[in-house]
Amino acid sequence: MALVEIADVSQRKGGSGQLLGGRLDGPKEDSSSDSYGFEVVGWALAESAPLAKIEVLQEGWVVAEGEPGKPRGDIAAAFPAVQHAAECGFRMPVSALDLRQEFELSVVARGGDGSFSRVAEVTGTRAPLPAAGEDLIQPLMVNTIGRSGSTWLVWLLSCLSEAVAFSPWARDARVGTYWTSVLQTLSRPQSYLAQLMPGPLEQQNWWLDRSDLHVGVGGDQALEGWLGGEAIESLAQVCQSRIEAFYRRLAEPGESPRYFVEKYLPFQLAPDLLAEMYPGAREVILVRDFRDMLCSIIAFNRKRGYEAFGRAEAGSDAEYVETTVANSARRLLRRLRDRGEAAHLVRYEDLIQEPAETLGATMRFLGLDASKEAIAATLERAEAESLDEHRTTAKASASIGRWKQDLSPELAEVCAEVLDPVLTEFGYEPTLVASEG
Amino acid sequence: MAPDLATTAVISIEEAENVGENDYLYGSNVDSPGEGFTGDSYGLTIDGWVLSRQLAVEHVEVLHDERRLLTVPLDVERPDIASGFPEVEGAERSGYHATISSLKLGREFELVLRAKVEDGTLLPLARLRGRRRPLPASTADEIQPLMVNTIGRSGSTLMVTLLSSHPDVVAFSPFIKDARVSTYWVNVMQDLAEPASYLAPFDPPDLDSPHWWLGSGAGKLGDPDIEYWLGGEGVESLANLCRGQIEVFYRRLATERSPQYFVEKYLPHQVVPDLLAEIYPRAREVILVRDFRDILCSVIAFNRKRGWDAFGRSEGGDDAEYVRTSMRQSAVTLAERLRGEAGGPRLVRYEDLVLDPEPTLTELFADLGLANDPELVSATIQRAEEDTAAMHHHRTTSDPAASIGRWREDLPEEIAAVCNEELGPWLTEFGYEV
Repeated sequence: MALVEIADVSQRKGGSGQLLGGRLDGPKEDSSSDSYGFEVVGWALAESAPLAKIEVLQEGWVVAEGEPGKPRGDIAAAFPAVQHAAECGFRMPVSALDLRQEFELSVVARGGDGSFSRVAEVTGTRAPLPAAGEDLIQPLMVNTIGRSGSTWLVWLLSCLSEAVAFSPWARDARVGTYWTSVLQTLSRPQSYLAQLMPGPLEQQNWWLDRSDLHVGVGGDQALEGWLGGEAIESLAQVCQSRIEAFYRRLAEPGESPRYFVEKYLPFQLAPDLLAEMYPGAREVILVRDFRDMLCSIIAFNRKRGYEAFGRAEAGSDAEYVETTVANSARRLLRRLRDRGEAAHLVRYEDLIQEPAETLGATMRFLGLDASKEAIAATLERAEAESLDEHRTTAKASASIGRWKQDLSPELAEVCAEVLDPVLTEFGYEPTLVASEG
Repeated sequence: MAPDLATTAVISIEEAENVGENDYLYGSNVDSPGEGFTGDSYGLTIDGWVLSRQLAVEHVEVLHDERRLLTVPLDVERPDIASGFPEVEGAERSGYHATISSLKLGREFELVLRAKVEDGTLLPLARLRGRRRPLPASTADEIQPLMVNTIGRSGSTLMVTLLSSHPDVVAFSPFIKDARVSTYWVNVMQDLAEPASYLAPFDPPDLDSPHWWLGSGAGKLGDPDIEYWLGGEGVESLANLCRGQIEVFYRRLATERSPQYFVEKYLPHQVVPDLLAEIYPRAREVILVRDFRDILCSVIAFNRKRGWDAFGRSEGGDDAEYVRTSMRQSAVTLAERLRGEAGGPRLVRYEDLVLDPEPTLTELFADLGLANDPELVSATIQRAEEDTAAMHHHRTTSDPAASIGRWREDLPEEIAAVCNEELGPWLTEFGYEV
């Protein structure tokens, strides 16, 4: 059975960036793979100097990378004046568990100066991991960005009698993410092939993400296919069992919760993999007016004295909005559309201003008893806990719309330009209208 | 009498010696664990401080069996030490905090702590002796490990091929690949059993860093009950993970057969055979030795043929140094393992295997509880010979029998003398002439 199918490979045409030439020899269009992965093979040549790196990007994130340097006599013959043409080939494995089920990949060549040029685009699909464990505690995934009120939502959901979470106010537990990360790493050929081709055993992490390992090194195609297919599915079940053991241990004696609640970030693949493995997984997409979220991040970072939430990677608040905030917002919107009825949107503002209605709708989405009594009991239990430590404004409701006072006109303008299309999709007022209002 | 750890704590520290103050140190101490410490987790946390008199401390090293397990910086604030040594620079941050998985230690272990100062000098700080509870053994009907514990160039590939040619033993292409499936999964288990890993899911600092789940966990969880579970029962469940993955691999490889053993090679310094012997109730270990002087000749010839230094020969020093350090340590470890519990490892000498294969294998198979009638032994040798026909790339002499005693011609006199001096007692113990 094909586990990966390549639908389209679009090669670069003509000059692209600083490349003299480049081509993807594999994967081929309309090809398939019986394991959870495939190889990206080809060549790329820059005139001035050998390229530093070849990267495979998905949604702007590197999912595979390698250094060119494989011998290519044919390219050397075609470019006799370029000395390094003889070693401009590349070959690297891509693990399907690092990809969305429907993936679009860009293969880019990066020069030593950081410049990059497109080599090819690849689109395809991968098979979902087999669903198993209907009787297990199912993931209730809160997919969101930092400072969106996610701790409050996780806490509120953990107060449902059918849910369990680890100390939401004290710790940000990511047990589901931990085990899916273990699964993803051990599912890469660069890891599982180390069983057959061990490195220096005294070297730490010899078993993990070794760049010298590629498909075929084991010398037994059938066994390698099994390691890259069935063995990965078996490992997925092991990871599920570890998550289950943790949450069973955490649940009160005699209780049998239906969900475990954790947070996820929009760029992560963990929610996709968990949704495949758990037939009863549910995803809540939590948004907060991104302008208020921005104000909260700025205030939080000022209070703590360091730049958290990815702010350190941007040169200014404006750049932060244009890159991290805008990308995350777009990812959440795309996620909501892609997941359809499997995801439920919760707006932080609704949660604060109309808690009973918002919680009720969420409980109905989760297939739980959403009677007035059940909602009231959950809210009462949740509100008994103090929230003071986590707030940057005295009352949560006072923080709604804070951006109108806190945001500089310049930053508001940037928000209008890059965030308004997403904001309106999520039901928020556009910046300009709101400012004038 | 030492407590029975099978029914008590997971870890106990029976002896803790601190160097304290001396000509080089204002003072140092391992505050925890102290003598008499017992813990319910396979994770061991070491907290202490050190204050050097002249040169600043670069880091503190923790060693097990003379191998460095980890290094930790002095980055823990110690106002108590600062107030005791107000004039000494650096006293306010003279503390260190180290966490290790006891699954990287033997069941009876000795940890040595030392400080490395700016000029590279290593100052001993403390020694901790303790014991760890064995991992629970599986009760499932699984393929058991048959562990060939040996040094490189001892004929281990021949040994594994011979063993895997028995119908009740399975191995992955021993003459083509040096597969280490069980070592792989045990190493995965050991690393996931590190406190820094099993505590990583809680407040992870950087989810987009590649291996955040391996080592970002630090500090206390704030829920001792769950923390002990993660470090105790949680770790024991990891052993099931590891065993399960080894089992599916070898079941897949064995196809229709139901072998009794899978066979792989191990190195003397590894803790892996100990852990496998804990989790598999019928695991067996074969200690394969070859005249260490012939091994040395073979290592030198092999490295010359390949053009690079393998088998630990690349760590610097000349041949004499290699004998004094790497070879001596391996010989000591193999001899100690052999002297261990009754009914433990079985000794096989390479020379006997090559010169008298039938009786050697018959006895070995009998000891391993494998069928050993003459026809089967003969067929096993025949199968192995067919498999090994293309092994010339692996050999450094044309005929294995001709390689026995090659050291008399190949080894320079002064190196032979070093061998006799450094390895003499172990050569004698394993039945070789000195």
